[in-house]
Amino acid sequence: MGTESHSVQFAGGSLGGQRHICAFFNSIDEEHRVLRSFIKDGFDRGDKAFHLVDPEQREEHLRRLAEAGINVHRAIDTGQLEVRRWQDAYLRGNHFDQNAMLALIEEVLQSADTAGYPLTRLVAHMEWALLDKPGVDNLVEYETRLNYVLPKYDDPVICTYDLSKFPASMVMDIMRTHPVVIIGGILQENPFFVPPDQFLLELRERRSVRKSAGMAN
Amino acid sequence: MATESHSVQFAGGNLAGQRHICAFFNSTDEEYRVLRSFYTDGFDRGDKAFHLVDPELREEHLRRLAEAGINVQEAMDSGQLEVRPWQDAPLRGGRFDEDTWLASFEQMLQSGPAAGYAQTRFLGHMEWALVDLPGVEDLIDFETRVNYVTPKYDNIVVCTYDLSKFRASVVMDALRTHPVVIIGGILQENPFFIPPDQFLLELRERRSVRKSAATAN
Repeated sequence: MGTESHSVQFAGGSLGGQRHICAFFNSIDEEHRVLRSFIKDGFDRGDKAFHLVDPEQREEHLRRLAEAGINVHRAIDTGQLEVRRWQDAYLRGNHFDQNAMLALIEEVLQSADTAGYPLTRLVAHMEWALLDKPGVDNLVEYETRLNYVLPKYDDPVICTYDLSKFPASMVMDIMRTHPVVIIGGILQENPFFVPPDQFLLELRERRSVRKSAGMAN
Repeated sequence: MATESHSVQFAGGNLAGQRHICAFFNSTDEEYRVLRSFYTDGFDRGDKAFHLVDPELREEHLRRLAEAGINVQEAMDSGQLEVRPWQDAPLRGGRFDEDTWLASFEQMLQSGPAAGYAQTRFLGHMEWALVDLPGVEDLIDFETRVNYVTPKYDNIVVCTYDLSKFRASVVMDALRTHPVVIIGGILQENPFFIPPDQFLLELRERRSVRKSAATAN
């Protein structure tokens, strides 16, 4: 874990042992500006890049990577870059199954390791959770449970959230489920992070409050 | 400044020198549970309490203070507790005038110690910024400028934001303009805080981007 050669620096910060990151942005321009060196450095160092994107923004995403100086075509051909659409990951079978997705993430991280990449740099656009599909309301539970999985790996995982689309209460929950956060383009260790055991308990309490409120009505 | 006798503990944290706090809540119940000791300790120690509230929630606020064990009537009669509705404070004259309110706000902070109280504990419900009146869009500009005022005093200033009402982008700006933050009921020093000189610059840049975008259209 966290050997010298696996050090990762971007967005004005340096990643320590914790590598589950959420990044809040107000625009796509801001997102690509802030994540540019994270993505670019990864290619320069021979890391695998695994991106999960809105199918409608896939071409735009590739165009922006090319603008950042990445040879997108070659990277896709060699397998170094894999850009997967939501329906081939989070929304397989047209619904969100958090167990299946947790397994997929581990599989992705392990297979890149097997293929000889020093690291996988994963970037996930999270707005799929705003689509009207079964299971998407498990987003926050999924995010907290990722904290059981990711500490087993060195690979940095960045979940991006568009602030113009998510409700504020959800954004705060997301913030509390990531040990590292990018806000205003700056990466910081997150003092508001709640470990998964404790956060799952809080989610269970909320559900039981809602349930009893529902029964009282 | 910040002598030993003025140490302040609540919401699971201990306030050091920085005393401009924002508190994010999902419900009124959560708010009063988390801030309860902030109120009761203040009365026990002879601090002045200055509260800025939604006029429609004033009675509810007084009821909740009474429930927390505060002798509301006596405290209001003696002047130790002052509960002011928005229209007599930031929204005076049917609009938000940032400079005027900043000056009044500073006077309020001074009023406690001037009258012999150890300090002023200021609480502001910030949903006035969602009322459809001229000037309320200067909320964030105001919040960052409060950071020029509060370091001059020992007084504690808590700004509460209801997460079910504000947009996520505004909440993130509020986060970045307060050196201390309460999230999930826990008070923490805020690594995402941006000092006012720098934040005002960012706000100016945003305005000029918006202006040139508008000119281009």
